Amino acid sequence: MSRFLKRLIQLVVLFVLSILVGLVLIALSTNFTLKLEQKSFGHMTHWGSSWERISEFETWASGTSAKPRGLIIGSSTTYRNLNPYAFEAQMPINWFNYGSSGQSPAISLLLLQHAFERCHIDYVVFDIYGPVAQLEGLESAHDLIYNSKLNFWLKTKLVCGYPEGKLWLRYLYFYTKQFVPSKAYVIQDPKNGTYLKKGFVCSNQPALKHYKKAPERYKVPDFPELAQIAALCKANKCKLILNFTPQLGKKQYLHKAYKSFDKMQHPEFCQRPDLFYDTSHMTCEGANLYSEQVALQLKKYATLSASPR
Amino acid sequence: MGLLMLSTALDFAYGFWVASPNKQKAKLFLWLSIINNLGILGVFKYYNFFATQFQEGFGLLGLHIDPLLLNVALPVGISFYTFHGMSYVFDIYRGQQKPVKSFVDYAVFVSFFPLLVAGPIERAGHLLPQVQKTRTFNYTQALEGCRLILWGLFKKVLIADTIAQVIDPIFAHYTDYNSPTLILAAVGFAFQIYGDFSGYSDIALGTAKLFGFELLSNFRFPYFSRDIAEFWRRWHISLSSWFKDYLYIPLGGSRAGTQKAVRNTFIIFLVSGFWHGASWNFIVWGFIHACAFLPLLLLKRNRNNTDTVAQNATLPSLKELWQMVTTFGIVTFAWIFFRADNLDSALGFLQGILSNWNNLGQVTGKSLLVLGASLLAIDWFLRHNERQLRVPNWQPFRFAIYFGMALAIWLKLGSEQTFLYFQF
Repeated sequence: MSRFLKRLIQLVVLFVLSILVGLVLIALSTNFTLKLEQKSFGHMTHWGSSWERISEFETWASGTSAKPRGLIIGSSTTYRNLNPYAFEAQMPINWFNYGSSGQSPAISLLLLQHAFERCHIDYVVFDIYGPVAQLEGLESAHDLIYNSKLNFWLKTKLVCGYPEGKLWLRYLYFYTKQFVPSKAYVIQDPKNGTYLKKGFVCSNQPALKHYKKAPERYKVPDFPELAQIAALCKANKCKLILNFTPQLGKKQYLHKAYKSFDKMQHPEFCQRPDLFYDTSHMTCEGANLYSEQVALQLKKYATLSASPR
Repeated sequence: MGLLMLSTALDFAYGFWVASPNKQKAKLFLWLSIINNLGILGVFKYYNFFATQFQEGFGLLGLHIDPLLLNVALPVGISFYTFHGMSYVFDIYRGQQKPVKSFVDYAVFVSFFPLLVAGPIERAGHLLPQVQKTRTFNYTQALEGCRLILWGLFKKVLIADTIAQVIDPIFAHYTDYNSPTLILAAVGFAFQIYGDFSGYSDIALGTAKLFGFELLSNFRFPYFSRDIAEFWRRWHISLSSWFKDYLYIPLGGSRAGTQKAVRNTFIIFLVSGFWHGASWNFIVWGFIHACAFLPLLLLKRNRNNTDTVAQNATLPSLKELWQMVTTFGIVTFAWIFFRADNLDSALGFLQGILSNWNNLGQVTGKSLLVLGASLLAIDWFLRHNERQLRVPNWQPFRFAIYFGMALAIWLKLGSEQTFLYFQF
């Protein structure tokens, strides 16, 4: 038995070492690195300018702000539909959009924990996408592993939540790149839209033209992380406001768990195909119009006066 | 869990009663055991099927009945552990096995975890003595087990699951695809189910080896069969031999005249189809195999191919190649019924194959051929021994292959799918 276990351990160690050697070879800047990375891992900014957005968050969080800080979290509908500049035009708050593609509630919670560690935040707008409870968050996890500056423990915690081989390899590769002379290849994909800073991505896809579907009723479900997010905000003396992203052709009604929260809804947008490029994401024009309306509603909840923080 | 415990306890008790020297008493308990085991299967697996069939039958006569339908999930592994129990009682009745005295030993035989949910269906005479004896750890056996697990995982995760990602949407929306794509999907499913089920069996065999057990083989390169009879000696061997020993032979087998042999052949294939699922498409699947087997039986050619194909050659002869291709074609045709959600879908799929010969340039799923061909190529080199993953002895090369396989499996983690045979 001990001979077998010894052999097994030897093989596992050798396997891990050979993977690390392989990763080092890919990471060492050569003419092949870019192609090998593309084949194996994909790239930074693969998901809607995340690299810039997430890096900018660190600057936003570490700098001083004369105004109260507001953070917007949620999935791709958040960073494409909610324009922080439109919010700032309505209220003296320094907003940042910290959305990421396919962000599940569990990842929103993790990001908020990280954000509260970095700075004091006065307001959190948690943008809830209808089928949020179904989001597994894997896409967002990939994004955050490769593009974010979450600390080692948060990244490890994130990776441990997903038994996915590619994510683990990406995680190992991310840290391998810290130790070897390697170049960060940031790929700009024009299809992802234009990054306008403060985490907002202006989508450049054309609006839907012929969307004719009778609106159907849809119940936005409760999810366990909601209470945890509320508790975290409360513990950090931060006001939590929920925003329910409109979905084209869907008439949302809410689970009773949302009753006690400050919340915003704009059902009138659910029947405006001219403002969407798919059933969830808005065009640049749509996002600006929608954000103006959200900001007007948000103003009621954001009552802190400006003071240096 | 409760059902498994009940079934185990009952069969353990029946074992003693069936061993009675009083033949009448033994026969009575044998029948009680059969009723008991088939009753459990019938309630949980077949009740809703029969209830809806009666409803539809009465509907044709203009009578409306509203039967009570059970809303319970099929207990995991029920088809496998009931067959374990039945084989134990049958063997005791026939005097081939003595009832075991230890309930724990018997419970281990029925519920040994690697084979509980999808087989192989073990025989008491083969597994129980291994449970009862003291086992010592065997280094070589454990290494063989690890290799089998690795190979099984590779077949399941890399081949079967990758194919599933391509063909599942095709089977779900078959009306949207042209004939070549549908044919490719059917061929793809043949490889998927083989990779999936034989992969599971390899993992089960390998895991059992780690604990010092040798399980029955379930597959012996079935797609190298030269006729349907040979296919059934190589595909899901533990099930086909179970049906042969406990159904075909007691019914008279092929030695009680041609008429009875034909009847028995149809019975075992139809029952085998029905065992897989309470649905007409599985019964049709069994019927197709029976029809393909029948000419071999009538011409007494069903035992023509009992050796390994191209035994002393690297490549098969043209005749063997043709035989393998035609057998594979029949098997793949039957798989369409096995894979489809119901009989209507299977017939619709076949109609699609016959009628949608348009846009021939737009064929989805060409990658399936590469995956299938790779699996066959590896199998071809292993075909003399299904239990060993034979890799050249030069250590660096061997390790490179193992590590490559492990890495490929690792990269697919997270997108794996449930084993197909878990539903049975």
